[in-house]
Amino acid sequence: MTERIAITGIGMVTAAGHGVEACWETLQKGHSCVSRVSYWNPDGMACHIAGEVPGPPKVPNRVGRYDVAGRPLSFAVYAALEALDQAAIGAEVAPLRRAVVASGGFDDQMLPMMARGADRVVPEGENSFEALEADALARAMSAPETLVEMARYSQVEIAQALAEHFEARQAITVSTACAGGSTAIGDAIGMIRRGEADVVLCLGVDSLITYEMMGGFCNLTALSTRNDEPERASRPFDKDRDGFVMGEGAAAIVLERESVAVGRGARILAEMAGFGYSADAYRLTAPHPEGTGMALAMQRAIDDAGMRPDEIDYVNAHGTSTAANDSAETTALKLVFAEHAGRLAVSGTKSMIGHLIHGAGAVGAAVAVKTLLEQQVHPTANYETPDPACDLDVVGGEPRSMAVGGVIVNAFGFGGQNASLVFRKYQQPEHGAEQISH
Amino acid sequence: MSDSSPRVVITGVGVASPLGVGRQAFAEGLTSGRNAIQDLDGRLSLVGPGAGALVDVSRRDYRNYFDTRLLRLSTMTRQTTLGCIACGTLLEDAGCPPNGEVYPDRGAYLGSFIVPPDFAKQARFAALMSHRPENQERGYVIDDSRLEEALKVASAFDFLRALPNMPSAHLSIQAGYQGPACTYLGSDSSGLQSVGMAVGAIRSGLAVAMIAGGAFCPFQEVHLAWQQVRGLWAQRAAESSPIRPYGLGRSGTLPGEGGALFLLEEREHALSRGATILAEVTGFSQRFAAPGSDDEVAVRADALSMAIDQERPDWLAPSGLGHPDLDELEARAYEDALGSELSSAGLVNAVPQLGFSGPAAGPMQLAAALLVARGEARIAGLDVEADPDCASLAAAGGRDGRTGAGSVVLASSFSMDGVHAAVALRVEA
Repeated sequence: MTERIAITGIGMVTAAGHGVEACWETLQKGHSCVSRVSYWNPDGMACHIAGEVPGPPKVPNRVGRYDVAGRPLSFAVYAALEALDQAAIGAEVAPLRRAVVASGGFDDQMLPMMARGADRVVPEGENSFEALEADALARAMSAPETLVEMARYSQVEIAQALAEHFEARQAITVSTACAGGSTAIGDAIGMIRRGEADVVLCLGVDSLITYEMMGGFCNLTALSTRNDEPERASRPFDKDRDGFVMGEGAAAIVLERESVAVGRGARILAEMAGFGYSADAYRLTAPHPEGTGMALAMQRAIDDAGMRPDEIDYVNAHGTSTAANDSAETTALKLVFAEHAGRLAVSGTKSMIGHLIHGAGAVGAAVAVKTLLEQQVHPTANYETPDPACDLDVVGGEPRSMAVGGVIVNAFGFGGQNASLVFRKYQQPEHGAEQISH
Repeated sequence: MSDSSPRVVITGVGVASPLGVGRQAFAEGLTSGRNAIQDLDGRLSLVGPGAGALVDVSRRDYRNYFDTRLLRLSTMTRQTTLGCIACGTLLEDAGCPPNGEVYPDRGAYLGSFIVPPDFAKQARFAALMSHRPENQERGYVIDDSRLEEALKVASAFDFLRALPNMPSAHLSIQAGYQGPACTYLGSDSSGLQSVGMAVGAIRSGLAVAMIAGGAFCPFQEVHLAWQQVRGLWAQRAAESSPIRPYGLGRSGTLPGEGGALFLLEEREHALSRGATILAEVTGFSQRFAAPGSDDEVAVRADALSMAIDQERPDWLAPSGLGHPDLDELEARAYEDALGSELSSAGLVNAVPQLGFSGPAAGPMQLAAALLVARGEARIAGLDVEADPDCASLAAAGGRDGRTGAGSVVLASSFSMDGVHAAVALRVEA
């Protein structure tokens, strides 16, 4: 029998607020936090709206050797420190038994650095795009201070920065795009089970409310263009959905071998019961219409948790609010849960905070833990007109108090990379239970 | 893991390297002693060291390695392309070429790196960034009327290409593998990390077979210039042996592109399909130590000790970049981990011939060492005067180890950012 894995800390910063409690409170109200983009003028593109984090979170100026600057690292540090504060890991867990697994996308600082470099070599009056072409930029890029800044802010070193802070001896960065946060957690589960670590800080982060990234998603026609009603734009499973809304932020979760958590007297928030990965092996830009890859990930996660489908009560859906995702996810849920699919409570966190891309699965994980603790499911904002292609019990309007013993969190990435996570309400081990090993 | 965990074997090697594409061409290239480093021209000569090693495969030959109707070149960066070329040779080598079927119990992990895929496009994006209020306050002067024009320049495919998970997503589609798939990033050790994580995936029962390795193209201005500032590149590019691992007068390495992949399988699965088993993966470890910290050497040594786990290595495949500081740290770590056994092990270092391919370099070294240990290739050592501080890993003219069944290979990737990984193999008949 595999030893259980405990969750002893969660952290979160999203458009719904700074910190888990602030986010949870906002999510319970069912109010969308989506608004017109304020970071730059969005008028030049089809989508003008996003779920921006309200003001910079309070973080230390430095973590390890790293200046905490730029939105991605600030969000990552905020969520990680909140989770670590709650977990209160002390000297009883040696650095060799600690790890950090992070998933993050692009750095919003890298391109401004380049712009700064470009500015040095493009004289006023000659500011055409052609003038910014390779030779000029190459000269700008060779300015050492620009490059050093780029290196310092590189998002790919988020795992290293947090590992330095957490004194962890393993640092891993993984990407499955929109499933990245969940993949980080799944990898951490595997590491604990294989005996490679006892405590793992898992993190998903992104801050893609940038002109170039939103422009790219606009060109994919993936973003909602409901610009006149930002708060009504993200509407998972609703018949009138027209695309997703970009969000930003981070979520972190501390996973811990149960015996270690119990041994040091930690408060265990929930059990991290299982995970499942799959690839659609189909197309880069669209999920398999029959949801086969999604279903595979969910079934694997449930099997990995050693649970029956009817032990799952709540689905924190990927629910992006795109036509293709929500219908495919519905099909996949029916494939896996059969008649129990109709009894599942389903909600979409993205309806209120937008899509955090690499951070989405980690946010789902934090929400799952709070759901198990509070025995309450947050509503899906803007669920007004049920879509026959998404005939699920979508929780709309008000939060629903209910008995929740098992939760599945779905995250499905561009390129067809899928990850599902299963969480279970924590039960104290029975006295005299059989010896367990990993 | 418990002793009941499946044993994991290697049943195929796929390579897209500057010395050749495919296992046999790679082995022949290594043995020939040919040095693939060449002067670069055009834009690539403007930043960085001005020299490097390129994979010689033309666009019209891509169809020999992957289905260009299934995988659209418009969604592929150079590193994704190199990964798919290596994957094509891998699946042939392993005796399981794509056949239109899907395999739910097989997956793909790849180590790579985020680099803006097209500098000119990024420059346009960069211009757009200056519209942020804080940048305008700094006096940027980009013309507002160009915004929509610039957005049109960037197609949806440009955006897709740049997503960091794309290299592994392409491999899943190419092979029809529906098991675990992801891209490991963040350091030059992510290629060997992906091998180790894939071994873990098989041992955990997530898959019966995994494609794993690394693919990377450093020939992008941003990356070349960035590494220049970090002091990675050699200052002696005009010399015949500009990369001088563990030698006196070494000044850095030179960029090389490529991809190196392995097919990892449960032993029983490989046997049941009649596959040729090349080696068994006997150990893996990964460690992190903040650069400049007091325990940099100890942590590297610990990674090696964990991977080799009391076995006696016959071949060592270290990073061997020719970097003044990194080489010395590496040599000290090997001495601490292996002690007297160090001098009796053979050395494999293909970096002087291939250049340094970042996240692909670890898997490339591992592939070279596997072929050498199997007697399929030989690598002559460089004739450079050893640095006394690195003497344990320096061997003028090369140093051979035991080849054939039972010989043990230890490969490592030690990166500048503090992430280190090591893999150990035992060669099969």
